[in-house]
Amino acid sequence: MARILIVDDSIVSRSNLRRILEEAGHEVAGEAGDGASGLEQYGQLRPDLVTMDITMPGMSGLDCLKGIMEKDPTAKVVMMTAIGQGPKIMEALESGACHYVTKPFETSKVVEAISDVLCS
Amino acid sequence: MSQAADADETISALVEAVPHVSPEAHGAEVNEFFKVHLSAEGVVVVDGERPLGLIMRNDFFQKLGAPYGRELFLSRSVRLIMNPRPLIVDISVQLGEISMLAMSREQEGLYDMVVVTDNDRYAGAVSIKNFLIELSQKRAREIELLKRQHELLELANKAEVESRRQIETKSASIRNLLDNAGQGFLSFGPELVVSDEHSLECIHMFRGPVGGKNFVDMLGRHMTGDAHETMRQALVKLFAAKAALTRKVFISLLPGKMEVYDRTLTLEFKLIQDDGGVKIMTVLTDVTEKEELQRRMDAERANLRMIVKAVSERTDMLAALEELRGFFPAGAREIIDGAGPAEALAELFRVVHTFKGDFGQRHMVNASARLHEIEEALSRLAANPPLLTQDALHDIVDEADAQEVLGRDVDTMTQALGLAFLENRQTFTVSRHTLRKLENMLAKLLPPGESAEPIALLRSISLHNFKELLEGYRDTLRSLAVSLGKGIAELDVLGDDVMVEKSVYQPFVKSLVHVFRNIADHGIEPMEKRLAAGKPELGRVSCQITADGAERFRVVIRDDGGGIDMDKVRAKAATVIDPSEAACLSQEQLLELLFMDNFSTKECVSLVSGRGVGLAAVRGEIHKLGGRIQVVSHRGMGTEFHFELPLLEEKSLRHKRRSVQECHASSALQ
Repeated sequence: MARILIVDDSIVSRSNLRRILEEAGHEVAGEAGDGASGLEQYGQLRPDLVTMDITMPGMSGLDCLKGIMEKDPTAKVVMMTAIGQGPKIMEALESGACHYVTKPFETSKVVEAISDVLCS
Repeated sequence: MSQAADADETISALVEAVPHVSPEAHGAEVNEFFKVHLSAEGVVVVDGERPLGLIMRNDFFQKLGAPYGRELFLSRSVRLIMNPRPLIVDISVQLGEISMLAMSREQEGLYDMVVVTDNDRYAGAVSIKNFLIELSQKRAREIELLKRQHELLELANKAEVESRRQIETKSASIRNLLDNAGQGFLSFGPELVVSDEHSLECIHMFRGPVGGKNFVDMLGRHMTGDAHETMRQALVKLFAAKAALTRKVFISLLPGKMEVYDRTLTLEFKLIQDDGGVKIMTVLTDVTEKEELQRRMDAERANLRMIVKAVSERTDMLAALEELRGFFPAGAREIIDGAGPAEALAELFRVVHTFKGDFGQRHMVNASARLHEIEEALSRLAANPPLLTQDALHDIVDEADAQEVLGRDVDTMTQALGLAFLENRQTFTVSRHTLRKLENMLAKLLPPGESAEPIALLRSISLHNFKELLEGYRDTLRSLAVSLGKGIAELDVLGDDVMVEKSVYQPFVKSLVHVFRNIADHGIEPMEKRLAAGKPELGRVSCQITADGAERFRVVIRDDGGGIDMDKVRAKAATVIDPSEAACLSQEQLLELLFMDNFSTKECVSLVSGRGVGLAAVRGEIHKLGGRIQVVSHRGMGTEFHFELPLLEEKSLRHKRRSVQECHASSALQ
């Protein structure tokens, strides 16, 4: 249904997420292993939605988000976070993120969050 | 009204230092105290500085005065006598507020003392009697005024008063409903101030009135700094949000569960619209007991799984216990003394980790958890190289005692299965009663999907389907047919599913080999003879099992062969007993002879079945079980062996054996 860009430094997380998204009928337009390449790929691929891991080395998820929002204020970004990262989530939401999902991923929660964002 | 007058008046003026008792006290001490202090209205049960409950004089003596009251309550712990949920308020509560709180209590507790805390520490109590006297003196004038106003109102607008009363009743009953729902309901608007319309339970939950308080501050006291800040921001954003999705996102950031004064509360947030604008309604539910129950049930289930595993893999488990006992402390000490600290630590870690996994597999959760703690201690050392010494390792190992690690789980198993279970013997006895009890507990505590497997495991230990026990004879019959050159069809095992103790019936089932041999050898005729007689080519043999009530069952082994040749039997009888007597024997009596030792109708003893000992063995086994045999034979059509058997458990079997032996003894004397 939608073209999605996955940004996460963990190979395992990326492949997990890919499986969940593809089974739900979405297309994974691309994968990025860090913030910088995530920003770059966004420009090239112009996906319908981005999933963004909050904690990444180098350019953090928050900075990558801000970069994307600057390029495209209508971008739809969903943050992937671990439990107990309230303040970071708040900051992301204030910076333009649409939604968030906590790890470890529950398939139903991921699919629901993505649908909610796409339909809003 | 006259709020200004008592704006400065909190209840601190009324708080008395009421004597208190520790939670370890018993009714006897409370009794003594009340006897000495005749004017004391009650005592508070305090643990350190935490008020736990309240015992009022009147209640206490009422309990004592009841039948067996003295026996029951004098020796009982105060924890069980006290009211565990008295009204507890903070010392900053206003005079006016406390009257509303106290008077809205249940009938029974209406005049109980109110316990007061200062910064959550026990500070004393307020006697309602004293308070009411104080209040009425102050309120005397206001009450006069009210009365006059009330009269005027009534005179002026009776109809309006009437309809107002109706609305009051309706909303009071709703409030009553909410108050008694055991849940706290409150609401607040964008300013985050809790409205005065809230349920009584909130007061219990937060130990004071909640109306007019800032919601975030009120909850913030019980949360971490981060969570507190996140909640504040999320609420601000929530009120500002317009889109449904945004609201959903911010609601998800609000706390769903938290601990308030040692109670676990769940929180649900709902956005509601009224003409005042957008408000948030919060539903708080005290799930402390439910969670405790859940924890206990989970523990029960874990124990059950452990017990079932222990019963079915006993040898392995005993070996694992032995291994652990050998490791702590002796084996561990050897490792530490035999290598450098870093190597020793790595080795210890590996071993402990393996033990943890193994005991985890056996559902021995306490042992596994204890081992995890030891693992953690080792990890901490590993992360701190300067502290990693032989001594440090010895300290950890010395603290870990095999008895302590295994104690709780072993106790649980011993309680359920008996001490003998853990003794290292080859066989052990688990009573059928215990297995049945375990089975029932499993069915009760586990959902059907989960209970099927452990129940099947338990059953496999005890009962077998009688049909199963006969399965082996399919092959036997086939081989017999081949070796004797007879055409016999596949054995049919049919009928009811009778569940039996394998060990009890196995000897009898084993002896049935003689019956099958007999059938194959003497019963089924050679193919040509069958065809000549118009019978199907292959002989048919069947075992039919029929349950006869709950106490007995019948096994019938049937063949469609030539039947037992009575003349041959009679002729043989004539060689054993007096010929004239042999001629008079009835068919039943002749068949009886078949079962006697040393009787055979074959002229030559064949390797397959001869000497008659075989069928006698069957009879012996049946009698040991307290059953009966009947043989029915139709010349040319076939034979039926009817075995009637009781459904036995081991205990009754031994009893029967004894009585059968006694019978034999007595008949021998005759």
